[in-house]
Amino acid sequence: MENITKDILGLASEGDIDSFEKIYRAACGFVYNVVLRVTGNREDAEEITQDVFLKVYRNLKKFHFSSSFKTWVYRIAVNTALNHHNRELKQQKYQAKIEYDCKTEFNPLMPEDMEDKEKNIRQVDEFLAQLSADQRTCLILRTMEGLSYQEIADVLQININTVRTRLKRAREKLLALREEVIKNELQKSSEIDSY
Amino acid sequence: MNCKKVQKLILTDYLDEQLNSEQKSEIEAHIAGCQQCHQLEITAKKTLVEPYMRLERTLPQEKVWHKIKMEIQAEEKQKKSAFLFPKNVFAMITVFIAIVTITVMFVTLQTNNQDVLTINTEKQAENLAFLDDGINYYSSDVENISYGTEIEEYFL
Repeated sequence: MENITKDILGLASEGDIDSFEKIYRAACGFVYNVVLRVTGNREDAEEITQDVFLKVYRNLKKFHFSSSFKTWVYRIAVNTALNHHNRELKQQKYQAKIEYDCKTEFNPLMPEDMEDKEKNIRQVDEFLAQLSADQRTCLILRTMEGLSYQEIADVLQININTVRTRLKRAREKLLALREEVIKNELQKSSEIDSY
Repeated sequence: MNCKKVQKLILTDYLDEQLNSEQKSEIEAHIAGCQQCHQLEITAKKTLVEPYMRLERTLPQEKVWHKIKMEIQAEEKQKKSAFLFPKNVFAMITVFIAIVTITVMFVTLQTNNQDVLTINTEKQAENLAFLDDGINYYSSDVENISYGTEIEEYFL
């Protein structure tokens, strides 16, 4: 986002599509990933990403640099994703759908390191789905996007201590989930050994 | 620093490198001497940091940009045509005519009311004048009272 200058923002706000495309290319990565992790669904994430950038385009003239442009875009992305998530919850359609080859059995054709990688990704997403939307959002912005506590507080417009509290609770939950998984794996392996 | 506080910091500021060097040294000194906190530090890094750092960031499909671009171009086109010929011009004209009609009706009504008021005022004045004249017929001076016509008066 460092290459997005005030001039580019100015031109984009006047309707210059090429300038807006530069903004899109610089920001679509983090916007899409935040939205994907909050919603847990690729189709929804693409639709929401489209909504986010249309909102950015329509409100460019109102952006007066009271915060950084990146913070502003993050804020729109998170709010749009959370609004969608809350609507889905109300309709009771929410579930963490991840587009992976969801094979729980050992695939002999898959190299071990790839299998571990896939397993890691799947587990992370399953764990994230167990958190509340607020906790998940804080965790994503911190661990995946690398935002500082103050930046997260600015994006979410909450107190910095609230950021800390949400992160602490999210991580305590993840540790508890991890412990449960390990316990289950140990139990399974001991059952296999007994046969 | 007690274990409870250290463990809280391990799960937040220490793990996220939000501490200054002095605070960090304090935590590390405690961890070096506490097995429980040391274990938590290892588990936290392995479970809460590394898996998320290994996740690859994916880009949205190119069709997302195409849809955004089409939507923006359609909006810009609509703005330009709205400038030349306002979309809601008929609505504006209708509203304008309605306002003019209501204003004319209001003014007409006011004028009629004024006329009615004037007529009523004049009638009231006549009535009052009539009543005022009527007082003389009820004078206590009987001799002055006239009961008949001139012919009757002639014969009387």
